[in-house]
Amino acid sequence: MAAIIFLLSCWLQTAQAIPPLTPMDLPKLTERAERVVMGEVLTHRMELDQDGLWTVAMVRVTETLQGDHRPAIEVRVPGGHLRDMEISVSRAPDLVPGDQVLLFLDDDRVVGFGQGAFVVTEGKAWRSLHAWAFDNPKRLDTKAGDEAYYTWLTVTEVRAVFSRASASSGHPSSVEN
Amino acid sequence: MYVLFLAIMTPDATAWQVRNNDHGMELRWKQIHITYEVDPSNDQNLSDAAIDSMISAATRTWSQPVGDGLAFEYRGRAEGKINPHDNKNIIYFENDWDYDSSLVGLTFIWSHPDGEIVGFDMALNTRDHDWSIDGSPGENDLLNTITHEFGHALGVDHSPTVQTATMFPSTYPGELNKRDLHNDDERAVQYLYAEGPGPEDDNVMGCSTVGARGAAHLAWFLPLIVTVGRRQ
Repeated sequence: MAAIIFLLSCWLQTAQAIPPLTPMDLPKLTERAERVVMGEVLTHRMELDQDGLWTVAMVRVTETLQGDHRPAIEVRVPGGHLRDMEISVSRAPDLVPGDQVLLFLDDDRVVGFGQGAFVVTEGKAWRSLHAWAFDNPKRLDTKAGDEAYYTWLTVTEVRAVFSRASASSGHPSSVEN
Repeated sequence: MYVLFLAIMTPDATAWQVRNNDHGMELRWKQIHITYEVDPSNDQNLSDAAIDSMISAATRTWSQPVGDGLAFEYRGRAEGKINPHDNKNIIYFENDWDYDSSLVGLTFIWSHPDGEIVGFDMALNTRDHDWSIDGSPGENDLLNTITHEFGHALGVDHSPTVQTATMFPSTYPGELNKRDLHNDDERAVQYLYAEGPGPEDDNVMGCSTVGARGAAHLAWFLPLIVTVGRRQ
């Protein structure tokens, strides 16, 4: 038994030497987010500046779970299309017009690059399981329901988390359009 | 228990992925002679010679598995910035990092709708992270990160579950795993650029369920549990 405990402790020490390899969980995303919203991606446009090409998505906010409520917000993600050129950036969130989304935002950026962007469908907010980042939500068409690939939170769970947080703070947590 | 043990003992499964564009086309260079420029200016006392050496080493690492299928050429110095129109593939350090602070590097890939990559720029975050060239604890190893980012420049996407792969998506200060390609990475670059029939395995978009490091530790530990259990 002593040998097992010793070996187990060795394994745990090795594991502890490596930073956590799991994606940011809800509390961590919430802590880093200035604003948490649910909404629909309406349109997007491209902007080219000194830092590269950005896709600026216009999101109609249907529910604000944290932060100041605005009926619509712009979210900037790197990459996009420029005439016949596509600029790809690994791990960047891909906000597609028509998608229902849950977004954890710091100013106009997604928290954790892509980690704070979820696609909402059938009452669940989905994100790639392994990615530490976003994956193209278009893949939901073929991967939806594949829980080996995607992880999800129910929208009810998400609302409950923010509801509990607001109850303890005395501020309303949710504003709906 | 036996079935579980076999499952965990399985060596690193393939997890490599290549990147697709919005048209569903795989991204890859048709022009296999790839040039690059370097802006070595940085505020972390990394010497120009060391930077050039690390970048050169990273290019050799990726071209080696495919022989004549890939060739890189250093073209000289250039001002570091993201620009799809300058016809330059620039590697540079960004002190005014405008992306998420957790990122150590980003590679932008320019491609056509048919998937042909026609350019890239690679930015390394010196605003939020410290860098070294010797794997010093607490600092990001330059070669480790550049090798990973060159994978993206070639069209290789993240390998989400093989933790010792160069294209594993996360890193930690002092990590050196990504300096050398894992079999998983080699298969990806061979799939994209090697002449001939392509990779040996059929699993083009494979996905393992157990990370390499975790599998190794568990495989070592579990037999002991089984042995003790029998004695009891």
